[in-house]
Amino acid sequence: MSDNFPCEQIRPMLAELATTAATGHDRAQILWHVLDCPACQHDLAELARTADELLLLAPQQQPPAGFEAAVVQRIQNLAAARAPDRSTTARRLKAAIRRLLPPGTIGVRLPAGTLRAARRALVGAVALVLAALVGAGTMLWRTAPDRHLADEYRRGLIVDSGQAPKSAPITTDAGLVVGRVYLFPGAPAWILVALTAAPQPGGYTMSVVTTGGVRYSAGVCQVTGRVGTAGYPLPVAVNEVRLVEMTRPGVRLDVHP
Amino acid sequence: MGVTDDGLLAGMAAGDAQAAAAFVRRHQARVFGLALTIVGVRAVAEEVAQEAFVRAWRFAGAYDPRRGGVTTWLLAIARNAAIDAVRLGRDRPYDPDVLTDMISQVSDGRAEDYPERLADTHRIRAALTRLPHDQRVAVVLAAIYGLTAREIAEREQIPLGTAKTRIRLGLARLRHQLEVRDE
Repeated sequence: MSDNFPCEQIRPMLAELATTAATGHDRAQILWHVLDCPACQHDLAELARTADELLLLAPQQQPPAGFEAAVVQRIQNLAAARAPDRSTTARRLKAAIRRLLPPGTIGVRLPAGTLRAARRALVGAVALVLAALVGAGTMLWRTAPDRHLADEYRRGLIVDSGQAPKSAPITTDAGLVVGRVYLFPGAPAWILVALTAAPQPGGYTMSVVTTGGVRYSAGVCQVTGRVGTAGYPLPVAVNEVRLVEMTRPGVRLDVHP
Repeated sequence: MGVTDDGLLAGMAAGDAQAAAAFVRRHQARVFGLALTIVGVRAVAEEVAQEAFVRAWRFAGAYDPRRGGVTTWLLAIARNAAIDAVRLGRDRPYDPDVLTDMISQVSDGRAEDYPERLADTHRIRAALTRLPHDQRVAVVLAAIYGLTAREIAEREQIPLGTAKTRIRLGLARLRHQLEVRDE
């Protein structure tokens, strides 16, 4: 896999990804390489840790009064809108939470609402990320999944060793290669689309079709000029993806990973 | 120090309002300060900071202490949220004075901060100030303000390759200096 992007080409780019200065396409290339290169993976994690430490230098400022209460309220509102309780897992989760918390420090009592939240916190990152997408009601945060997911990889790859990553060119009906799709395994697995020569500017609606024929919406890739990138969590494992569709009025791009 | 950051994060993820409030109280000055540094507008910074805590709650299950502390993990989330906000606004309210202060101040300690965090801040600032000025600026613009190499090249009026080299060499030196100090 690393043959496509040799270390000599990728290594100088690691600092850009570590600092988040890499553009979407470079980000895809680097991540694709480091998945299969332990040496670059190690370097990236170390550089990312160094870059993140710089954030401690930002001047501290107290937010406006009421900030803390507003945050807690937002979280409680979101938690209340979540899935119903499943009492069968309650005792196990309750024990898991107690193991995470120092004994006798904050006096956690676990009512039903807490257990629902605990299940969310502990059962799986996929559900959390998907919920984040569904709950993101404002366009302000529409690029968050791409950046956040790449960041998780940047800090130290979250890779399911039982799954292989996949990549495939994006081609037009005429066979012209206009970009590339990357499918990264992990928790969650995710898709990164990099269009480098899109036929038209604008939004491309993306769908993922599984081997079982189920279709999932995978967001929108916004193209400026001819270039655009987008990343979204996958609701299924990488090896279950049969087709990725990208459409906009008058244009349809199919990718078979 | 009482409850650890990890413990409060776990409590917040589990829906404990007391833990959530304590977690926010402990980190809000850093998160809001970083957001304000990047977006430059208090109202936007407040929204960004709130969003950062909400994302931390949502992604708490994916936090791995082996890959760094809660504070830097949370600040990385805040930085990403701030960069998203700035990019969508197609504006870079970057303040050169803030940047200059950030990379030249000897001390920014706050009385209520924890001693180990103050020590961390001093250690990182000292390492940063040992970098050549051009590399220091490039690394700060990339790592904190989220500027791409191309944006740094345009701002500094230098070739793209030079901007990339400054980021690469600067971060490598910084990593080396921090490693040496850690040993």
